[in-house]
Amino acid sequence: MNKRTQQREQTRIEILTAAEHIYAVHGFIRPSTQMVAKEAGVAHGTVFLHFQSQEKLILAVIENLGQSLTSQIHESSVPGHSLNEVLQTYLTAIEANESLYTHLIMELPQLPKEAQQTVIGIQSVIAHHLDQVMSQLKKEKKIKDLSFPFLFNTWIGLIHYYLMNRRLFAPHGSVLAVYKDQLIANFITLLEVDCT
Amino acid sequence: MKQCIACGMPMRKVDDYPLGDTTKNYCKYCARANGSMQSYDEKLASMTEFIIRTQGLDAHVAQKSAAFMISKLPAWKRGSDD
Ligand SMILES: [Zn+2]
Repeated sequence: MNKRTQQREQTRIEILTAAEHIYAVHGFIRPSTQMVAKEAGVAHGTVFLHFQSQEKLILAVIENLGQSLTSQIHESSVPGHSLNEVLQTYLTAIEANESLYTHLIMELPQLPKEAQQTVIGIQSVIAHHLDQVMSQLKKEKKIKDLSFPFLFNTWIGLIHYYLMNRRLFAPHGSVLAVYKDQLIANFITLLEVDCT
Repeated sequence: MKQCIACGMPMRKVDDYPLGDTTKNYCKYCARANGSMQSYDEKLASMTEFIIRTQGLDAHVAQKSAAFMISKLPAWKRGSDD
């Protein structure tokens, strides 16, 4: 890589990082590209040199988020993980990007369809790991015999509900920092077959 | 650690590889019964089926999403991206 391409790549990363910060605070829809340029310390035109349009910039940030979440989930998933550990891995990854992820799911209807597809991609990775541990537990008759999509959507719906209503549950900070452990524990209790 | 070029899954154990062949750069889920790599159409069909089976999505939505995910992976990246 020569010096000029290196410089160019560096500026691209700075704009992306600035956009991530802005979107994490204000959401994807409201902020202008001018705000992003200011945060990155570059001229307004430079943003378009690298990303052509506001939509492309938004999608680049979302794609980055998707990649970082899926690689975190994949990397910390080891074979033989318990159900608790798989759920923990998922929530830890989300928690590290909580505000950006929350804005993403809340603004999905207004965002380009690629944003929705990225969310389905993130969900597919967690579904893959959950499917492996849950089908084993089902075989051993340790969890209730409910359909996988029902269990999966119940879990995602629960998490998204807490994230989207953060102001009601944790007005001063991260909702997952406060509720992560009890959501996991209660969800597992809900699934467990009563052995008594 | 290698990552499957066709679906992105990390491959840690011998068991993750097709027929235990660790020289391959795709995983057992992306292989046919004989160990060769699935074609684009086969991968699209199996990923669509996986999304429907695990997330319960509409078949058309699932297929569109699978095509989008696959387009981001090294094995299937279109020329426009580089
Ligand atoms: Zn694969």
